[in-house]
Amino acid sequence: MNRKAVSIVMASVLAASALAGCGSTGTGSTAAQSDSSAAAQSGSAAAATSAAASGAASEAASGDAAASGTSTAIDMNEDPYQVAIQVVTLPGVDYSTQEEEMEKAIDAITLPAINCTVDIQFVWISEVANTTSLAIAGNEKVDLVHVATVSPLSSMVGSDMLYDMNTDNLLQNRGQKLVELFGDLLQSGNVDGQQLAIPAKEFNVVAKGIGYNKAAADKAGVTLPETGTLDDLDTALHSLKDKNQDMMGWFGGEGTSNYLYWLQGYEGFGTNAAYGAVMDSSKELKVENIYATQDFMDYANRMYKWRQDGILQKDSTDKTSAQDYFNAQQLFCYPGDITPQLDALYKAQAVNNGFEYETMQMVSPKITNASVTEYMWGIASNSERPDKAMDFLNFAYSNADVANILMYGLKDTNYTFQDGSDKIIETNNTYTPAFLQIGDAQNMLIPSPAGEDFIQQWKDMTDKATVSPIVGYMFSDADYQTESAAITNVINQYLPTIENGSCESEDATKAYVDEFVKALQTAGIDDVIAGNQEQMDAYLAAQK
Amino acid sequence: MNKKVKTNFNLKHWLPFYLMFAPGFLYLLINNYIPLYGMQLAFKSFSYKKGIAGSRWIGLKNFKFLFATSDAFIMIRNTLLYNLLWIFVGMVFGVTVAILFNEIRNKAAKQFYQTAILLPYLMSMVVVAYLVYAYLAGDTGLINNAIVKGLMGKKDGIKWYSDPKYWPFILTFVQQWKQIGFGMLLYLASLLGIDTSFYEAAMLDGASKWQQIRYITLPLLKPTILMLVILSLGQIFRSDFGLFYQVPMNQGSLYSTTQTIDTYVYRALLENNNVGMSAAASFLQSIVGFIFIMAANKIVRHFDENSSLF
Repeated sequence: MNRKAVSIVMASVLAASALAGCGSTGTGSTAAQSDSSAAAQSGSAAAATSAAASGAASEAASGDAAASGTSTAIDMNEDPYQVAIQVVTLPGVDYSTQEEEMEKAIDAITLPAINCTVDIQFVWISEVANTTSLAIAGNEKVDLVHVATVSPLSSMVGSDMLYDMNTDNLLQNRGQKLVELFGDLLQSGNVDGQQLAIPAKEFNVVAKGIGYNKAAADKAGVTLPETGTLDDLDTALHSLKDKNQDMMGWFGGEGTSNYLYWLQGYEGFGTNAAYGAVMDSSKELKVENIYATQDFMDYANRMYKWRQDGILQKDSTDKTSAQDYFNAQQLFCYPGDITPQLDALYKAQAVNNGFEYETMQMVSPKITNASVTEYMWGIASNSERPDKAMDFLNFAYSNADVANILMYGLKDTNYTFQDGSDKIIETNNTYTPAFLQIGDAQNMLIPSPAGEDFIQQWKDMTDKATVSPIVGYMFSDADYQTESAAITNVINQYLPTIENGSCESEDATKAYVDEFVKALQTAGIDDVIAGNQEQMDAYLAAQK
Repeated sequence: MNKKVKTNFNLKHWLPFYLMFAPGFLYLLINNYIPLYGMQLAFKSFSYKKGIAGSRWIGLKNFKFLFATSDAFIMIRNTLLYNLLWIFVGMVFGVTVAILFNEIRNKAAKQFYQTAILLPYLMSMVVVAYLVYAYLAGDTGLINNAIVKGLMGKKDGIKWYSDPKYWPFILTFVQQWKQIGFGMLLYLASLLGIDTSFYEAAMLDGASKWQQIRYITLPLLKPTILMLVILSLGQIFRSDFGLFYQVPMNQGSLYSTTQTIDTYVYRALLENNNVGMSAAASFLQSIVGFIFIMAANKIVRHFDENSSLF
């Protein structure tokens, strides 16, 4: 009986260790598994080409002469595969009640067309980076992942989180609509020859500047030009301060993001230009340390003055967001991107809050790497069927109905059509996946207050835009992880004080910025910038 | 035949103990021993595709970032000094408060004080951070308005959240206020275990209250004190993340006195998503903790074998 007890204990220990060990051994074996299944797939798919293929498959096959690798045809005879797609929302929202209904509506379209079903995974923006890495590390089901915004592509490269879409010419053969739609922009998802992500937005032009409360400006008799400079803003904020004592002119918030980005319009690499920035890509393609420039020094001094003049009021412990203050009409303006889409969104929000929203453009429209890589799609490296993930993505950009369901939810539940229109919708704010970008906007629904000319606005803006010569360039920070951690830390330490103008005097501000730059240099920013320049020169040489 | 009876007897005696030991053992095994496998991550460039075992070895490269900058000195200094200070202060306050508690005779009062002093321990650090903020906030804080401007008559309040020099005191105060209720419980438990006949004998001999504490209570508490100090030395490279991150409201200008290894790693890796480097940081914390525990135990054993842990 003694032995029995010991053996029971031993057995339970073994069982426990086997259970706990699952996670790690599982990851190892699936890599092998997916390799072999990929091989099996291309074999069976090749066989399917000769067999009777469905409409969608034959359509795809009849396209351009296909490159070798993955078959261009979709196997309609196998068991349908379920593609899991991340839909990123604002923190705190919960759409689980309508998730199933949305999935059913999409399945009804995709099942006959591309033989797959969908699993929508709603993720909060604040958790998307963690959710994705945990899901991939734990080998949980995830196929199409949201890349960029908060988890930049460059940070996902070194750790092999994303599947290379060039494998077996997957993108060329099964993502034909994507290739056609994005063309050269695909370069921006290409790191070291691997296509790790593709752009999510069709229109990537972005202008920068400030959005302001038009009603408050009118009341105080302040006028802001449609296109202006930092000095125009300065004048406006001062005269507003003289007339309207209650409203904050400017809000530094926690000071963790560099507002100069929206006021000056440099092209930065890494969060807050931690890897340097190109100040004006139309003039000189030189990577610089933005914090060591005269522009930044002037900006730091201006913030100090604004604080002294009472334009900047709160201290950096205030965790309220600028948008919240703005919507509550306690803040006059805040910096941000300007696009027809954002315009429509913010105007609708302002109307709901009882005022009028207007913008002042400070940086002319540009298509830059930052604007393209802000929203991207990637395929998780542990996806069981990268080909089906690609099918779904390709289909979402060809079939507006699928994209409409993902972007705007369900008709009647979440939106209704405007009278006499089958294109313009009135949403009831019950479904807003704030960080989702999918589908070919030209065929999709348009939420009011944007009108029929919405697409034309985008096109006009795109025509006016300059395309940055480094739009397809992505800095790989794989060799600079140590420096990157140190630089991030230095920026977090010094930037908030500067953004809030909280130094004691003008001289102290200057000394503080100098100290900041010195700390950045100790952290190794110069090495990173030199490396960045080298990679960029190599990229430019390859483009010629 | 005789022998077999003996084994049966033994098992009956020990089986309940084995059963009582099993849940704790399983917990330790699953939570503390099996994850040791992952320690290799500190020396690897982690690839999600290849898994832990398949990732590439890169030697000590992951550790470089912890020592690469001038911040390294600050964060290691802060972590060590705060911990040493708090181990000492926590012990002195814990023992003092426990002895004072032991002298309270009114049952209702005792319960009231015990609840009151333990309450902060049960609070989340986020709540604590806003309590502190209510006192220290620049324009609306109680201390600036009531004391600095009111009593001291100064025109401007003190900018608590932008001047690092106040924070060693503030953090120590907050930490003690939060932890003392729990820290004293263990001492109080050992105090209750002291045989009252010692005190009766001492009183008969005419010992004063102070002499009773000095010659009976403290010597009998010594094993508990030593054990708790050795255990806390194992945590010397770790810090309470909430305390150092939430309470100073994540203010950059306070880093020189509020940055610890944990907050540095969190801030640095928040952007990078680098598994290897996080693993390296916690590997280092574990190793240093291990060395400190072993060394402290050895020193204690050198002086008094019975008080050592193992």
